[in-house]
Amino acid sequence: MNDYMALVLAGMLGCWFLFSVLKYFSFAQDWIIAKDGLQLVPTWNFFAPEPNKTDYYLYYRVFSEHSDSCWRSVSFGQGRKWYAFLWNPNRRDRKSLFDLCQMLVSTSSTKQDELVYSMPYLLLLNHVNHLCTNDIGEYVQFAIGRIVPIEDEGRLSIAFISNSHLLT
Amino acid sequence: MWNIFISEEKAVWITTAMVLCTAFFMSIEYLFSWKRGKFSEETFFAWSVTQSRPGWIYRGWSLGVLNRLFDKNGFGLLIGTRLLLIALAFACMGKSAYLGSCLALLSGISCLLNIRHFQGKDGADESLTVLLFGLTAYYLIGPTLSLRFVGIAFIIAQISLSYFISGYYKIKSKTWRSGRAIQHVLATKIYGQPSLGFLMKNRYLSCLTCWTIVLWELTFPIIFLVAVPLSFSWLVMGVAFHLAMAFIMGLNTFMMSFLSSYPLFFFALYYLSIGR
Repeated sequence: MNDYMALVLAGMLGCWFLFSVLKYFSFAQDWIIAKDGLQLVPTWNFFAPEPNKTDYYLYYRVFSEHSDSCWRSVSFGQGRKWYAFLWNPNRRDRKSLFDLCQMLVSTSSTKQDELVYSMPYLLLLNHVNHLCTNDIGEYVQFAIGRIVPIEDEGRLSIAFISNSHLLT
Repeated sequence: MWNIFISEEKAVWITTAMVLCTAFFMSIEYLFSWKRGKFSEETFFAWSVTQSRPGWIYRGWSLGVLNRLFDKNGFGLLIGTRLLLIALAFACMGKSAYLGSCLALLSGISCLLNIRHFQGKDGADESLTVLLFGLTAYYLIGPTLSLRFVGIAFIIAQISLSYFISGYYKIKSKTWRSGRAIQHVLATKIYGQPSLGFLMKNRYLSCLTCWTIVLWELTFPIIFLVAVPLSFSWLVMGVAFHLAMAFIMGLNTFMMSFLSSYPLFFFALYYLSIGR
């Protein structure tokens, strides 16, 4: 590679690092996130400022106008195996559910009508909708259960309940 | 006694091999999940929903390309290509230009995978992308130009920043400062190990662990200001930290990707110590 190209490459990495730093300043954060379509600028604040205190559980039910049904939980298989320090492909599933639930729960103070169009809401609805394709009923609804083991002594509380949606 | 000399070539070679192994592991995990239908339209990874996110990449011609890449078979093909490129990169070890080209393509695929699922993305994905791009720059610039060090410097700067930012946000948090953060994390099922919770019931042990992590992360960038034998202790702490995260929290690829950068730190510390 010639000197000019090498300089361009070095400049690009320099800018990337600069944006990685600026992302933590409020004046630049939103702009960087909006422009970072390639997801290059990392988010490095692992388990901070607040550490993960919560386990989330996803529930759903199918019902009709004149009949009710029980809530069922969405299973994610068994817990972590002893060899998870080497092989842990289910990590991504659990992290994904955690991310989506947390996004939804942390924004649930806003109007529910707006949340219906949010990405986590749509992804969770899509998932439960497919889980009950063989069920008899007209509507589907999901809920997010939350356990904070230390603070709530292991008691489950409902953090979010979706609207009812026509089963498709 | 402390003569842990590592040459530039050796450090970059070890890092490259470790990065390729990490990418291999992650690809096999992706393949495993994909074969079990985890990335299908029926899950919360559904691309038809994910693609409606805001952002320029989800519009126009780029969306068309992404739709092709992430359709039912496209995703498997992408992971297959990634595995093939990893094998090719291993075969090209020692040939800078070829290896650089393979790593450039692997970097591109890493970006695509990060675009595919914002949900479930973690530090391992981000650090692997950083490592791949840094190494790509190193190999493409070539062994004769001194600008090649930019690739190494970029990786070192990003990893140091990651620890510093993480430490900074932790020290700002009341939960971390109170020493209860570890108790909380260990008690959960997703990242914790409830069976080990008893270890952290001891307030002093919990406090000591929290503050050790916070101070180690926060002070990580100063390893370049400290004399060599002492500065290695930050890296030894880092190895212990990542091993613990992998064993206790199941963050296997997080450990692999971050530790991949450590040979470069050893090299940089040695290199800087010569200059002093």
